[in-house]
Amino acid sequence: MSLEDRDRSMSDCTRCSNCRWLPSIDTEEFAHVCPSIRYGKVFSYSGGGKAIMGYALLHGKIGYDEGMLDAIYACSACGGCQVVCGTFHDDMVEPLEAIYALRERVVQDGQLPASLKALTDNLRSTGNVAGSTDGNRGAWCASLSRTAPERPDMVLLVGDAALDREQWPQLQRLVATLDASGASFTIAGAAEVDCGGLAFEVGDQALARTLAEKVVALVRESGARSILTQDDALFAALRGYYPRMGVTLPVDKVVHVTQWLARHKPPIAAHQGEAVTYHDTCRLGRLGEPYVPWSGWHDAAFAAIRVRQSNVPVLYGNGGVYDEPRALIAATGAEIREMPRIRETSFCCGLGGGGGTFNPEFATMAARDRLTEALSTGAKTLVTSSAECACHLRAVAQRERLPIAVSNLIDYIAPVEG
Amino acid sequence: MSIETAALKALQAAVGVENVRTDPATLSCYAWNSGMMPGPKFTFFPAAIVLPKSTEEVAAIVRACNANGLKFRPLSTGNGTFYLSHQPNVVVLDLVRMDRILKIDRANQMAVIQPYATAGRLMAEAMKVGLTCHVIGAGPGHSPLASATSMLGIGITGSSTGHNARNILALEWVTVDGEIVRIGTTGEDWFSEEGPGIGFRGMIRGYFGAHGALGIFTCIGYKLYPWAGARKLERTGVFPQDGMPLSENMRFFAPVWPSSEQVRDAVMRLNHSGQMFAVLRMPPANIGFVLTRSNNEYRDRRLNGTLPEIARDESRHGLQVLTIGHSPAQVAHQEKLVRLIVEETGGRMLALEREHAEMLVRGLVTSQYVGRARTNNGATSYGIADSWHLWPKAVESAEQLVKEDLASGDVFTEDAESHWAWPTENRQLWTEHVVAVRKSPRGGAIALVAFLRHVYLMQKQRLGIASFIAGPMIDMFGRTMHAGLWMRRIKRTLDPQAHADASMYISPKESAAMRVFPYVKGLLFSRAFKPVLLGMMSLMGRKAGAMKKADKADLGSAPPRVPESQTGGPAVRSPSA
Repeated sequence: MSLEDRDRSMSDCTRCSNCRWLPSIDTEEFAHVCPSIRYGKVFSYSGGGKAIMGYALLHGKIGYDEGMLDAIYACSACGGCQVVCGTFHDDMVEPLEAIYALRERVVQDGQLPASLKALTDNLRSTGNVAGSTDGNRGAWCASLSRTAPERPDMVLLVGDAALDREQWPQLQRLVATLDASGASFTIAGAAEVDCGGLAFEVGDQALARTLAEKVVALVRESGARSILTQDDALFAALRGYYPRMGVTLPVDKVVHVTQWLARHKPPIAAHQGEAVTYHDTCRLGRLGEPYVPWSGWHDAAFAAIRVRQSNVPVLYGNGGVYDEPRALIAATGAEIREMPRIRETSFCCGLGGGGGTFNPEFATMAARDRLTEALSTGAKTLVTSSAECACHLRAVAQRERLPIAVSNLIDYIAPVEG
Repeated sequence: MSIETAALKALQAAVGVENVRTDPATLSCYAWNSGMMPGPKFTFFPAAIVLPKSTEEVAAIVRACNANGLKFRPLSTGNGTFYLSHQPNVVVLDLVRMDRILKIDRANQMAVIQPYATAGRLMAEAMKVGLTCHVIGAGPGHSPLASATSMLGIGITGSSTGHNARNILALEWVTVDGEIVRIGTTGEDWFSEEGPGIGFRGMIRGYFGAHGALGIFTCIGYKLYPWAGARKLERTGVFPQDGMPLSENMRFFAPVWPSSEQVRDAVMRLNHSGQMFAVLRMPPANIGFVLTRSNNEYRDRRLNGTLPEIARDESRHGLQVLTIGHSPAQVAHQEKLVRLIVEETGGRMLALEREHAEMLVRGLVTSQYVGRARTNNGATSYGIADSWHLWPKAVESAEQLVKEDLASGDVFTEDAESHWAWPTENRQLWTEHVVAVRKSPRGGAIALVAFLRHVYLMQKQRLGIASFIAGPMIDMFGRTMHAGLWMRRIKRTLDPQAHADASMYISPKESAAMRVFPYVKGLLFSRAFKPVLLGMMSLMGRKAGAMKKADKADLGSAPPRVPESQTGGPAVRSPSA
């Protein structure tokens, strides 16, 4: 949806500042929901601030400058602002949608910062954000001796983990676990392409759409009725960004591996009594909620009550995946010590949405904040569903000598071999 | 508004280069008219945004502004447009870096806080030691320091947590000359002969607050109140409709009466008992906005008659009452007392589902859901502050005021009126008539005219103190008892050079228009003149360019009000997001 389409809703921002705070606060220290304004401090970094800047840009009140671009991209587009804004204002403003539209305009105006432009250039030239010319997404599963069913129920997409050798053992264990529990699936493997999620998030929607259509084609080719993935960013793209772009997947549902495992209860590791905390990633959580596109009008019911013309529900992140990862951790015997900011109002680690690439200082601040919060629970280990978030959090923990281990959920629950 | 190099360097010297922002994108976020005021979305961009970390830096900024011919304006958490400058050459001090709760002193029931410590954060920490704080209607994201020192300070827990003006125990004040003054006591860091009781803090604050026009407050000692509830507010319900469990010593009541007179009688007796944690009259529709997940659900359930009874129009003469006892005997006494008062005043108790009660109780304790009253299109809010004996008159005058607008189909309230109301300090009445209007120049004009006419009629009919009198309103309506004249004298005395931005306070000089106003207001606010006033306000809205092409569908004459049973449908359309 373009900046012009967001004109009315951006103008409705009341600048109440609630988009920066949790609606229900448990503790002084961990009251922020927005890592961007926690970092940038001035209001332009908040969700509401970005809506105001979008409006100002649209109406010719401001032009581009370094400060504006930092406010726009020192942000993981985690959606915390939107669920909190909705708590108070229903769908009146929808700051995350304003962020998407503003970023799209930035790209259209040729203002995408160089570090992010490099990513989209890489995607165009090599099909992966790293720009690796060895972009074989099938290498990780080439050595697997398995035969896919002729008519699989699911197709497994693994995202950029396919290009990260360190994640290959984890993927291979995952396949073994799925096979052992009787899952009917095929692996996209070499046919897999980048899903376009990051391209969408930084605002290059033309590129995102092109990539999404390739994903649609490969899924259709697989004949599967569901998509299975362990990649949180991919999960959010398929469930949230594709509908926003009007791209329809030829499947009934998109399933995260944690959902599948929690339901089928394969043998998992034992961590009896271990104190852990679970970090809800925004991509599996609130951004993983299936987005229901709608268009049309807001009517004024009873003269002045703003309602959607259609009965498409306002989203608050409730449709994200929260319970299944916790069920899997609990099944290991570990004791989950919850952080103050969880589920729909979880605090993002700062990596996604181009934030980590554009402004590492921002991403480090967000991770440090999250790790400090994890430590406040008394947990010895932070577990999270995203390998990328885990990697980012682990790096910051080690760099800053924070006494907490960080584990990817799939690794954490994997039975010890032998 | 570009800033002179010398001034910029002076500000940078005060707080460091990285804490001074002059880029237009950042400035735009501090020039935003959120729509509560008439006029365009942007008028005057500030000259700079400056982020001090300490009181000394605040003082240095003030001195730098004075030396360079700049006005200044402080901003803490910022809610709505009360931070908005209506003049050029203003430096905004965003106090975001002064966000600490410096101390919670359990024994002495007080906290020491900086401007950006929010009520939500303070409350969470205070509750851990059995205390709580006053929360104003803006909700947990507001700044208690700003509320206590600089604006109004009324909150729905006022029965037990008072009025914020009286919660100040100590005050650190950077005067308009950049001098740092400390009054009252923080218990250990400073003591002053200007104690926590009477003192000149009343002069530098006033009733409505000076909004930074008399200097900047950088730290306060703040009164906390006993809290006998849980040390942590656990969450019940489904986000974002968070509730909280009622502990054994809490009792929540939802009584209703047939008339506003009975509500008045009941509240005066409840006040007299001194036993209430919170008493609130919330309009049923606003309760409905809280208890439904979206406006669409509210619309549907209103139409099909499935809203809970407390959220229906017929429950409009109702209250929410929360008591919290410190002992089983007190809990029993409170319960007996409330039931007796309700019975003797002719009321009855509504039955509530537990889930709904838990949400409403969270709202009473934290003010979390007050904001949902603004989930609509445009809205205005006006009301009165005086004694509860005026409640029936407040209801009646509000009914009269919106009667014509209801008929025109531009306004939504309950069937007749839509006051929020609660007692403060077991005595005072506070009301806010929250009126939703269509998002259009006409709707905006209706809101503004309703607001102005309300204040005028209040004074004419002796309906107590108008609740929102700030900025030019002080000159327009503050003359009755010469209070406005004395506020101007205070401003002139404390700030003879008019260094501090007074957009939301009284200006040092009275304008010619304001001198004429007393003689024309009778005509201006007469019923006959109302269409002209509406036209003027509509023109103002249109000229401002605040409305867009998409709104033009709303510009014609409003459709006739359709019986509710036939609506919920698209009487008026605005483009979706």
